[in-house]
Order: sequence, then C-alpha cells, then structure tokens
Amino acid sequence: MVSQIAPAATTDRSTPIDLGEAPTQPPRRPRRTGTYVLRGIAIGYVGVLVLVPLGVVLWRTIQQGLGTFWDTVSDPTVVHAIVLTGVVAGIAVLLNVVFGIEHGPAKRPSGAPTTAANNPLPLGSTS
Amino acid sequence: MTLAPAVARRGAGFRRGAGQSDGRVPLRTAAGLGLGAAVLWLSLLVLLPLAAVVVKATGNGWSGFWDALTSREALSALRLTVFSSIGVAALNAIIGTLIAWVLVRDSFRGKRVVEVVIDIPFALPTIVAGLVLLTLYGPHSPLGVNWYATTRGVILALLFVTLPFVVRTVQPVLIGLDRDVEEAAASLGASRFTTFRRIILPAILPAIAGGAALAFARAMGEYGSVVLISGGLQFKTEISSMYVYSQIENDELAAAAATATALLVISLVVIGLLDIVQRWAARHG
Repeated sequence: MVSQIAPAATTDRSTPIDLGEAPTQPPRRPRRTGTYVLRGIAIGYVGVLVLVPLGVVLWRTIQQGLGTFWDTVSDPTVVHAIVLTGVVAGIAVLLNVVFGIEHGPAKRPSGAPTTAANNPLPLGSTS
Repeated sequence: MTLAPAVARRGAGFRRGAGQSDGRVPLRTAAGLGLGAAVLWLSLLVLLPLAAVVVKATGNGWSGFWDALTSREALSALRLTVFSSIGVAALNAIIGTLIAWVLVRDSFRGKRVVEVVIDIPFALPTIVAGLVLLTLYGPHSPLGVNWYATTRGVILALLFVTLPFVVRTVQPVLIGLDRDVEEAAASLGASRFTTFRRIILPAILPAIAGGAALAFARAMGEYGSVVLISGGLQFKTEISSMYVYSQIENDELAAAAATATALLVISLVVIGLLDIVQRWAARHG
C-alpha cells in the first residue's frame, strides 16, 4: 500500500518548488547523478504530500472570491471559534512554559541531538 | 527521558564539540519544589486521566474488557491502525532520512522553502490537514484520483502528519557528524555507499529509530487528519481513534475505554522498545 505512494513521489520533479538545477555555491567535489536523484525524491515527496494539496486549497479559496471568503470567516460562529482557539492555545502555551521549562531545550546539552526526550516538537500537537 | 544521554554519549567521540557530561547534582530546595510541582502537574494532566481510562475499561471485569477489545469491529480497527502505523513509520524512516540528508548535505535554490514546508504538518491543525488532503485526493480531486474511504487515503493522511518526525530528529545528528571520518573512509578506498553504510548509518541509526517511533506513536493516535478522508467505513477504513469516538457517541463508554487502553499499552510498549533500541545502539554500532 505504501509503495503505491512512493513511486509517484519519486518521479514528480515538476513541482513548483523545484527552482532549477543550478547550485548556489561551488561544491567541494563535482556533483553526481545520485545527488540530483536524492534531491528530486526529497522535493517531489514534500511537494506531492504537502505543498500541492495546500496550494489547491488556497487556490480554491481565492477562486471563490475574497468576498465569499470574508463573509464565511466573519460569521459570528466562526469568529467565536477562532477567538476561543486562540485564547485556549495562549493559556496552554503559558502553562507549558511555566511547567515544561525543566525539560525544554534550555537544559539540553549543547551537542546533543534532538531526540524523543528533548524534542521541542510535541507528539500530538493538534490531534 | 533516557534517550538523550544515551545518544549524547554514543556520539561523543564522533561529533564536534564533544565533552558534555551529565553528572548528577544533589537537588536544592527550590529544585526539589520544582520537581514536586512538575510531578504533580504531570500526574493531574497525564497519569490520572490515563488511570481513569484503564479503570473504566476494566469496569465490567476482565472478560468484559476482553470481549470489548476483541469485538470484530474493534479488532478490525485496531489491525488497520497498527499495520498502517508500522508501514508509515517504516516509510518515514527511509524517506525522512533521505530528506534530512538532502537538507544537510545538498544545497540548491528553494531549500529554505522545503525546510519550511517540512514543518507545516506540525503547525497545521490536523483537521485542516484532513481537509487539504480531501481537497486534492478526495471525490472532487482536480487530479481525478479518489482515495476517499480507502486504506490508501488513511495512509496518506498519516504520512502527511508524520512527515517532520524523522527529518527533524535525524537532521541535527547529521549536521553534527564529523566529515573527517568520512573523508578518511573514502581515502582508504571505501565507496560512497560503503561510507554511508559503515560510517554514517551507525551514527544516525538511533535518531532514525527515535523519529520512526515518534511517527508510529503519532500515527497510532491520529484522528483529525484521517477522519475526513477515511470515511469511517466499518471493517474497512475505520481506525481505532475513530472507533473510540463512535463508541462514545453510542454511549458505549466501556468499549471505547477498552480500545483506548489497548492503544495506551501499545504506545507504552513502543516507547519501551525504543528505549531498548537506543540503549543497544549506545553500546554497539
């Protein structure tokens, strides 16, 4: 099942973020085909998985007109939901700064890699 | 908690700027109070609710718990959740390492864009992620593919939300690697692949395992991004978190708690296994 996704990602090099082949600085040794292949896979995967879907949603939003967009967003229910989300998130951040500081990045040993124990990115951020 | 020191020790001889030590210092009063507050906070926020779920699940006795857990629908959902999470974690281990590699060792225009895009799944509310995926891969897809209510769609959503984990755990380790060792290997006649396999891979393996485990844990509990594209077909595309939700809606709290407990146990086992792997990697490799 998984492999059905990967090949599509590997071949797609025409995504908007692939801005040409030219390296910005001279490499220490000449680039090989492998470098380009890896780069293509990385950009293709990220593009197909994240960038293109996001672009489509944005495009659809713009397509229906900014007026419609504004009417939807300024609906009292929507405004209340957005405000509530913001306020609750603010409180959570505040409390986590107070209580979570002990295991935050501040105490991380300088050379230590980011691991599960000191990873500032939480497990289930918004699920 | 034990991951960081293990990885730090393991890389100490190989990484630039080695020399950190994690010696223990006796707690002062203030630190003791801080520890107390932290433990209390953790208990109220995490441990107590978890205990409540376990109590609720076993309210009808052991056999009630077992029956709820092994009902056909619950089992089917659990199977889909576990297997797709394993697949997602495995694919992430490979593609995440690849992306981290490209971000660290390659340079090209637009690299910063990729850097930012990697973090979007973290910042994006998962329901937005679900909507985004449904827009492109759902019934009204401009691509003409319809992955609504398919296992493929579920896996796609899980891949979306777990994208940053391996990348962000492997990246700092790759940056910290000492290039001299690789050059030494190359000068001794090792091919690029051999250098990667014998020199780089052992150094980044704990980070890959850590990232993959995080991705797995996240995939196991994912709800928001999956709920839209999954369609929630029983026995087909319903994952455990959706099953739990539907049971609560049907006022079957004990059944919901039973599956929740199973998810909890699996998560704990994964965290335990991860710890063992990291300790092993700290000694060998």
